[in-house]
Amino acid sequence: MLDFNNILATPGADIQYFSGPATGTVLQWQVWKKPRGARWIYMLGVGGGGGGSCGNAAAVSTGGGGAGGSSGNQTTVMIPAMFVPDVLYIQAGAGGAGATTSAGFGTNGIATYVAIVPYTTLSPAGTILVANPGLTSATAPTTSNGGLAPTAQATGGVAGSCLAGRGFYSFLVGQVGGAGGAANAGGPTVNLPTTGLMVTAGSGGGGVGSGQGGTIGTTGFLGTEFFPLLQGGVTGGRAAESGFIARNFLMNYGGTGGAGGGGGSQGTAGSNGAPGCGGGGGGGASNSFPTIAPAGSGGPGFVYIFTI
Amino acid sequence: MLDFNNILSTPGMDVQYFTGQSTATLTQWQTWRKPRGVKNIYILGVGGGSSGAVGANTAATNAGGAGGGSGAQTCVWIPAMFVPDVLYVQTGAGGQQPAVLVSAATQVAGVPTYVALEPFSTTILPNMTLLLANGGTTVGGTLATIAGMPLAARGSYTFFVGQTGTGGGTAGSGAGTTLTFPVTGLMVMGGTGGGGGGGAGVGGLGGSIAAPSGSPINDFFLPAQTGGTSASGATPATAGGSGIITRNFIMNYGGLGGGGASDTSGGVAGAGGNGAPGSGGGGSGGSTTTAGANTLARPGNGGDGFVIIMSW
Repeated sequence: MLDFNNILATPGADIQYFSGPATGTVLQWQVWKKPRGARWIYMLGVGGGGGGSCGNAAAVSTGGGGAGGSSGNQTTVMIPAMFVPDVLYIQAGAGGAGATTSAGFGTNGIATYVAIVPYTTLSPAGTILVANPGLTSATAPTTSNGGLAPTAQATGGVAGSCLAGRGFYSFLVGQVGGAGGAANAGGPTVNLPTTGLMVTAGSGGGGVGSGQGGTIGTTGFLGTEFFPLLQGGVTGGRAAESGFIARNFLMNYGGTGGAGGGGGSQGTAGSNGAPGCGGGGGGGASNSFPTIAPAGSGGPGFVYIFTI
Repeated sequence: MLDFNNILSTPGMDVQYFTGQSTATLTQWQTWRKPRGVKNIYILGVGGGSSGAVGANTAATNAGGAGGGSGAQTCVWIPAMFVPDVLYVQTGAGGQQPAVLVSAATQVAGVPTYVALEPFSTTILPNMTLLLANGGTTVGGTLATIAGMPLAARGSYTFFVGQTGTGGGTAGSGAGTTLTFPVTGLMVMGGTGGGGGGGAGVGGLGGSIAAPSGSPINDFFLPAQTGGTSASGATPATAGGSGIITRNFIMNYGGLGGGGASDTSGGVAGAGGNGAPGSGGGGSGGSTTTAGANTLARPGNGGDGFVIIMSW
């Protein structure tokens, strides 16, 4: 393999980033080529985040907010380059779309894979890394309660990425999305994960009335420069803040939930998640302003490959 | 430690490969010397695979021998500061049946693989051990634990149990059982069983190795590997194929089972194939008491254990 085009590569380390256009599993592959002289390869992959769900446009003024989407799972692999072919194939899964209809569910994210062949049928034996996607809620908000949080997605494990067995690996389950708020209640706060994850879920939307969208962050957490609080939507006021990547890739934030409608205001939209994060849930709608606010979409999955 | 002789080592990375010449535990050590200036050390070890079992010839129809188990697999990464300048490596030999075969003899175990601080000779000293990978037996090599190699706890490590070989074909013309491609993270596999022997005019086929699910066949994965063909009349059975190492060390294949004997003179059983390093040998085909078709076939040898030490 010739590497004439790597003239400007970082001295001593080759770092490549792949983000998720793959809207279907094992269908859309990108290509990585092993840099000349590689000795070790480190990969970090995150599945696409789950989309947020919409609030309920109630016949009475009691509609609940929609739940946030879950973050993708996170996997790391460190492997000697001698066990890795000269070309790898990467599917970075897309994030799930946010819901757009009353009490509608978002879409699940797509899994992220790194494989030695661009297979069209899933092949654990040919896979080095797998990071399963974040899910969306499966329980819609009702006319009085918020949507329930999505279920957790199991990790692929080394049984799903057999070639990682030549090296070292870690598998982390994604963070479950925040539930939607009940009528006149806000979406609960989504605390920063303390499992090792670098992605968060989306927070839920507020219930109709005075429900605010859920906050993402941990109050009192040291280093607000690195770990700020991300605010959800406020009825008649602030829009839900979108997810972003904090400094030094310390944390990718999910989308926050929208506010519930009320007091002459319409419910507001959930925001989109940063890469690998869940989307925010939409706020509940008032019967005087029945237009449903859309939920935020999950962030696309991604893969970093470091070669030294 | 001087390193005048390392003139030709890979720039930035020293890679050394040790393979199995240790036919008994704790008696035959090789030496690794820490290259000057290294900061990290990675070690991958696999125990010796066990041989295949011998098909039987004590009745009119007999079962084929089972395939051998692969060695267990262990990886360790550790900062070089925790590793002495010299390590001792025992790479366990694969199991082999004795020169004079015994009807229905079970698999011969592979020897475990060790990397240790001292070449201990009488007692295994876990506190001196940096890596342990057990050999295959009648099943896959037993999973190592950190209690057997506590020095690895200064770094990171992974353990995988070996894969068990498949059973031999039933007496008569039963085929050896197909081996499922391992999906646990192992880079070695068990052997397949031999076909049953003594069937009316035809024996059983040696066991096959299935292709991995989903992967297109290419340089990294072989198509399904079929075992030895059975004897037919006076035509002898064929031997099972030997295992190979596929590109980039993606998989070391086990040996395939030999075909079973027929009940006709001349229709002798087939031998098992040898396993690739760390993999199990194939079982031999079953025979019969019929004169001229009652010769025991030799099972495949287990693949020798190995150790790769990378330092940088």
